[in-house]
Order: sequence, then structure tokens, then C-alpha cells
Amino acid sequence: MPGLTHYLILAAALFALGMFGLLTRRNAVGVLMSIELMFNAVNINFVAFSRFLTPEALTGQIFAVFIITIAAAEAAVGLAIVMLIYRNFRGIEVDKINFMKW
Amino acid sequence: MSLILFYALAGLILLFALFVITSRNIFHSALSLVAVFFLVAGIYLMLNAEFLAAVQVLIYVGAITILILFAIMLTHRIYSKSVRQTNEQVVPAFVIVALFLVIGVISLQRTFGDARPAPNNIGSWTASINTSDLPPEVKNWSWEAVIADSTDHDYRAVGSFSIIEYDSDVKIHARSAPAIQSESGNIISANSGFSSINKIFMEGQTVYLKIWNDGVDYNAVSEAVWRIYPARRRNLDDSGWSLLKETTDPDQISVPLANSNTETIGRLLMSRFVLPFEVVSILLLAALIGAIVIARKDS
Repeated sequence: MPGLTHYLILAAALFALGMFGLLTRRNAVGVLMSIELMFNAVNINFVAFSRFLTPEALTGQIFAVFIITIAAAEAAVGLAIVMLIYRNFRGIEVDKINFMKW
Repeated sequence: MSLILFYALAGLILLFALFVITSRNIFHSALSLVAVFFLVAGIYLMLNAEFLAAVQVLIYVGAITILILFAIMLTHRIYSKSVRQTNEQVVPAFVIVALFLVIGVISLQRTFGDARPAPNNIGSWTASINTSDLPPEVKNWSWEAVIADSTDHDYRAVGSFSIIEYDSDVKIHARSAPAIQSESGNIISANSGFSSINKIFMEGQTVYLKIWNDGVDYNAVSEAVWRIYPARRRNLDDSGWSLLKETTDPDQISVPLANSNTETIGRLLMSRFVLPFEVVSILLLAALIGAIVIARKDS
């Protein structure tokens, strides 16, 4: 039976992959997808802790539900921003969108 | 067996996640993101979180992926061969991520390396006693609980707790109670204490004792027999203290976790977490309205 560290290391690896994508992707949609990967990694952590440390309280699962909600809101707003940027710049490469850089 | 399943799921998750972040075609990335979400739902199932697995499939696979696919389709020609998909920061990003992973895994191993899996919790039994009901001269107490299943096997769990005089300066120590080998070889995890870890109680506090099984078929078991006796006098069959108040409430006896996961989450969302629930609902509403306002064409 896999132990707590199995799940935590899986989550850490998934989080690291998401972080790598977040740092290297030029495509704004790709950046958003990397953020979704990181949300999933955090959720795995919450559920694993809930299962292994407080098997009766289920608080971790409640927080995972909240995080899924936040992820949905983030995806909606983020993709709306991506659409707006695409209309104004004819492209969604995040390193080209530097009009707020001084 | 479940370890093989876990490794298969984890390997596939990491493989598809790697494909999500490296694929040149953003459409293929979105498709492997769907695979990652599905497999993470499998991980939730392994962790006894059926409700979350269902929510994961509904919201991530059903809604968020559709949103992403729509965004990809509406922003056409963003993944042609001529468009570079990575920026110039690949090497520093790789160094940062590798450092994060190494430090994270080392600290995880050090912190949680010896954490044991919690029992499957198919049945649990509790009893309580107020320390003021016990004779004050005895400070160290032992307790035992005996449950019998349909095959007439007795499973016994024993534990102990101590009572200290009330003193506001005293720190209550927290120790984890070990799993206790029962007579027939099946492990009954036994804990004493309200938070499942306290074993020292102040005078006047109520002691909650709790046992649960490890997933063996205890369906025929309806109640546990509790005894409490001074710690020095072990193995006394007849003179066990009988002040324990057993809980015979069916709600507190043996509700299979597999059936109650969704129900428990629903009850928690409507009772203890009702304010966060409302706040998140309003946030979601505001985010959706904001998304509409942002994405609307200016007239």
C-alpha cells in the first residue's frame, strides 16, 4: 500500500513540472495549463494529508473542493484575458506582451 | 497490488504532464492535460475520495478543458511550426525546478518518512468517561475494548491514559498512540483521547476513547465492550471499572466510509464551512461576470 510520502513526492514532481511549464512556455494558454497542473498537485497533497493524518475529519477534501472552484474561476478569467490580448496584439506570446514594462 | 496501481498512475501522470509542458502543438498539450486530470481522479479514488474524483472529472475534464480548447480554437495559428514555444529561460528554469524538487523531496522524506497509513476506518467505536468520576487517588489508567465478530473471534485493543492535577501552567503533551496487536493477529489501531493523540488529561476533563478496525469485515459487529481499570492491576476479568459511558447511537457506530464520503462532505460544507462556501460561491459568480465583461467586444 503506497504511503504518504509516495503521494507527496508524486505531487511535488507534478508541481515541479507545472512550474517548469509556467516558467518556459511562451504561449499564454500553455502557461494557464501549467497552472492547472500545479493546482492538481496541491489538491493531491490536500487529499493525501486528509487521508493519512486526519482520516475522519475530511477537512483536506473540503479544501480541495474549494481549490477546484478557484481553479475554475482562474481558468475563466485567465482565458478571457487571453482572448482580449489576442484581439489587441494578434498573438498570445507572453514575452511579447510587455507594454506594462517600464 | 495497490502499490503497482499507484506507480502506474503516477508514471502516466508525470508522463502526460511532461507532454503538456513540452509539446509544440498546444492542442496536443490540452489533450494530454485531459489525461492528467483523469489519472489524478484515479489517485483520488485510491485515497478514498470518491466525491472529489467525481468533481475532478466533472469540472476539470468537463469544464476547464472545454474552456481551454475553445481558447485554443479561437486564437488560431498560435501553434504553427514557425512559432517558437519556449522562451530563453529554459536553463535557469530547469535549475530552479530541479533545486525545488531536490529540496522538497528531501524535506518530505525527513518530515513524513515514517508516517503510517491510517486505518481504513470501516467501523469505529467510542466511549467516554469524565475524569472526575474516577477515584482521585489513581492517576494512571488502562483501558481495553473487546469487539466480537460473527466468527466468534475476539479482537482486543488496549491503551492507557494518565490524569494530572489541574494546573494552568502545565503543557499537555501530545504523543501518538501505537497500533496494538490484537490477539488474533489482526491489527486494531487504538487511540485514546479526543484529538486521537492526547494521552494525558486534566482533572475534570472528559476522556474519549476510540478504536477502529483496519478494514477486516466487521459488519456483524455491533458494539464494543469497554473496560477501564487502574494501570497496575492488569488482566482482571471481573473487577473492571464500569463507569464508561458507551455510545450506542447508531450514527457513531460503524458507518462505512465508502458510503459516507459524499454525505460527510455535504454536511461539512453546510455546517462548519458554510461561510467559506458562500464566499467561494460569490467569488465564482464575480469571476464569471468578470470573464464576460473582459471578453466582450467594445461597441
